[in-house]
Amino acid sequence: MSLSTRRSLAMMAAEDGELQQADDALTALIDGLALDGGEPADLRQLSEACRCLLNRAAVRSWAVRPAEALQDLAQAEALAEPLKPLQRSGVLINLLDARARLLAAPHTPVHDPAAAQAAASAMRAVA
Amino acid sequence: MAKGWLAGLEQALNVGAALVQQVQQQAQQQAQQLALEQARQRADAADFGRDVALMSGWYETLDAGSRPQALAAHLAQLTPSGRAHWLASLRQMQANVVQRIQEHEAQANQAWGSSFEERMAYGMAQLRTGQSDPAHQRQLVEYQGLQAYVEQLLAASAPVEPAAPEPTPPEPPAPSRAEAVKTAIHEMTRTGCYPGGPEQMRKDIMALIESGESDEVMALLESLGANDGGNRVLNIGDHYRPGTQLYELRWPVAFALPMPFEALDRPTQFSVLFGEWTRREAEAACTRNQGDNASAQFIYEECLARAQQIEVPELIARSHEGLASVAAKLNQRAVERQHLQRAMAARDAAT
Repeated sequence: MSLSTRRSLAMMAAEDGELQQADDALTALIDGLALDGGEPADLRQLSEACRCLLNRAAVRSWAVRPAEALQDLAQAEALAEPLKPLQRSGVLINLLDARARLLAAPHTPVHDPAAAQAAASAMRAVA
Repeated sequence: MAKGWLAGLEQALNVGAALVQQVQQQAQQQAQQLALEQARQRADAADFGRDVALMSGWYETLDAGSRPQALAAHLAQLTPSGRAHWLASLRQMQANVVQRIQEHEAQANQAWGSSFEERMAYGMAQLRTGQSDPAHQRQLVEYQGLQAYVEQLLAASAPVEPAAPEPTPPEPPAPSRAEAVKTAIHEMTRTGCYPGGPEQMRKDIMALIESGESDEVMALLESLGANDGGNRVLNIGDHYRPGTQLYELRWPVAFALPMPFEALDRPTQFSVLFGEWTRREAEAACTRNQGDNASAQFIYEECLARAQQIEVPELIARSHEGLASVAAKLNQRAVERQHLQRAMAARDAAT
């Protein structure tokens, strides 16, 4: 079970400025989970897939690709649906926080204060 | 003979004297009791007379509106025993008035005399006129007014019975420890934080395990997905490497073994050491979560050594991941990266 380790290494690369390398590594992990072709093997993998998508959204946000970051968040939100409460709440809080920040950032194509406010309100509801 | 008779007489006299003395003492006690009773009766009579005078004074001098105030002032200065005497006097007055009314009514047909003829004549006069003797009637009304007055006083003087306390709803039974922990866990799913922190959660669950009440809480944690995160639970048998050499016991075993470690066969020794790694790794994680990074690092390094001894790559990888997590807390990025890479390498070597 090296998925979380590989994800951690990818995020370390991103923090070091290697955004494309991190994006590629995370994309490889997500593709490996065959999210498009079918369901992940179990809830543990599903939870990890959500975290990979959240991490890739962060990398794409740093790479000033906010629309793609929002797409990753939307995919993670859909995947988190079947998760049990403890796992789902952990995913959703981080997801909504990231979405609110992306939508609230001025001078970007995705800037939407009302939607950012809605994401923040939803985060309060989860928390 | 005479001497014996004298002795018997003396003895009889002594007994008689004792009896006389005893009778005298009893008589004195009875006299004292009688005197006390008479004194009490005199006192009661004096109290009664004083109360009657007081009540009569109010009745004769005060109007109906002022009497309650006078009564309230009188009651306010009474001691509990004085109040009891006052009530006894009122009841006695009430009885006296009732008796007086009965006697007065009994005398009604004797207003013109007590002889048979006189009573017959009075009765015939009543039948003819439909009226009673006016003087007798006035007296009766007077008595009835007095009776009503005494009854009012009695009602106003009676001690107020304290209102029965309203039945309080029974307090709900205190939640059991397991219920309290379940409530806290539900709160954790809502807020993300266990009340009292992770250490409190650990203590609560350990207490439930020790008391045999953990089944429900564990089922709840399972249903909430507590087992869906983190590392998978490993099956020891999947990681055993067959061999002939026995293992060396380098660290003390936390639980009592049924026989010396050296007497166990290799697979059993492996199971013991694998279980001990699991216990120590949990302690390391707990220590790290409590913020004691140095101790956590020390325990994770011990875990790494244990994992290398029994040659289980997954345990080696997890030990490195633990060390990486401590390094991340210490912001030692190079060390963190190194341990993560070693963890990956350990797993890759196993496949």
